[in-house]
Amino acid sequence: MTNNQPQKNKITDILERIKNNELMQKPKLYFHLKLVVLILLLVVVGVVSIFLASFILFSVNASGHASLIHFGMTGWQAFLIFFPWELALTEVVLLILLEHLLRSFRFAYKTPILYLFLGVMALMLAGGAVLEHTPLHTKILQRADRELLPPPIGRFYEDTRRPPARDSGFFRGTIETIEDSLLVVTLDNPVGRGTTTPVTVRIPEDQNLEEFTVGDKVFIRGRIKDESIQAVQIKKVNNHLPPPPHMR
Amino acid sequence: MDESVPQSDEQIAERIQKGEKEQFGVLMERYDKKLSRYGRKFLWDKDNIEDIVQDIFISTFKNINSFDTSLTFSSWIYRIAHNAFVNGLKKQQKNSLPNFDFDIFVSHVAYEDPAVQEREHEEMEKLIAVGLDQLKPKYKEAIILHYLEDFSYKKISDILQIPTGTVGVRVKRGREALKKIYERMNIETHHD
Repeated sequence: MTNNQPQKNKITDILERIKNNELMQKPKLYFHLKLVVLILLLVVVGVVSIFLASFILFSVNASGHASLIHFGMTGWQAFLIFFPWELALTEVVLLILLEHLLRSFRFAYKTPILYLFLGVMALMLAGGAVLEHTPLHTKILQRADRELLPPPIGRFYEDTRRPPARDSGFFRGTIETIEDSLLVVTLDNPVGRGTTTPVTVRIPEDQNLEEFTVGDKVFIRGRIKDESIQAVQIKKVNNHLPPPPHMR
Repeated sequence: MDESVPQSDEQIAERIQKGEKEQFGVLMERYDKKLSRYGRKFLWDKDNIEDIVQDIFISTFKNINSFDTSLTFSSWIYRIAHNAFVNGLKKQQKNSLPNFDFDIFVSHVAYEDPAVQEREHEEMEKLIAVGLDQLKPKYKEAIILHYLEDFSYKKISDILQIPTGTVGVRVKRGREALKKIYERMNIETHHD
């Protein structure tokens, strides 16, 4: 037997199996369908990812938490504490999945992972930012308020406007009246279901009463005792929505 | 079709896709020795290599309709072969080729100078003969494909499905590692 014999046997054997139809080619349709499924999967994951990115932006704005960063370092800390990290983590998982799916394509595996990931992330965030500017989430939120959404989704939307817990040192509310160096503010921060007792807020020395007018939405940093807050800082909040009906 | 005119792999693949199944024998003849030689750089068991080459051919035939004939057939079949041999290697040893590597995280500049590479090839043959088995798997596969199978960085990039710059980095690091191994073994290299 020569060295070439096993090779010849192997080739002959495969050709024989092809001839006897024991080995069949997968049809082109199979690969086309596979590509269609892959593209569909990419679209679905992409859409979910954009939706989630927009929802994160919406929830940060609707809760007014975005305004916390104006409180300096403490505000940033609070912002990071209140940030919806579970959703952000889910978004990262979706981005990784998206990148993994994209790597089936030549242009993607030729691109370094970090650049591809950053590119995908930028695209999804840009899409999310655009979607956040549409009335979509506000409309879904209104449906959630009317209890027209299934519980998990409805709860997600209701939670977007949840104010910080009272022991966080941050309070959100609306100015009812202004007297001397005191503000009377109705807090969003709940003590119990349906509690909306107004509290008095003593403004810090370095802040001027004229900054505020009745009806302003504010974030207050300070300590609460006997329904009175000694404020360290007060900032007006833009854009935030009122708390969900059961918290009002 | 004029059978006396030698045809490219891609042309033959296209004929197979159109139904001339017996043409697959031509491709097998062309790649049998190449793939066996490639497999020997990963695995030692000759019978196992032959079995894997047979599986590669079967997989190639079954999936030939997914091959885009405007691309290079050699890169495509070597991609199938690479996966098959890496799987074979995984069965043989626990810590083989990792799926994830930081080299593919950021971009690297890869430049192929044909004049330098021709000079390098002679030197590399000696180095490879001595130290290839001592290289990390990720450098080993890049060195094999570039210096022994004569693939360009671009084609290796398609075979390994990593960025072209990363191929360049792996070849460079593999070459440097081989030189160190050579020096460690106290063998004199000849520099022209």
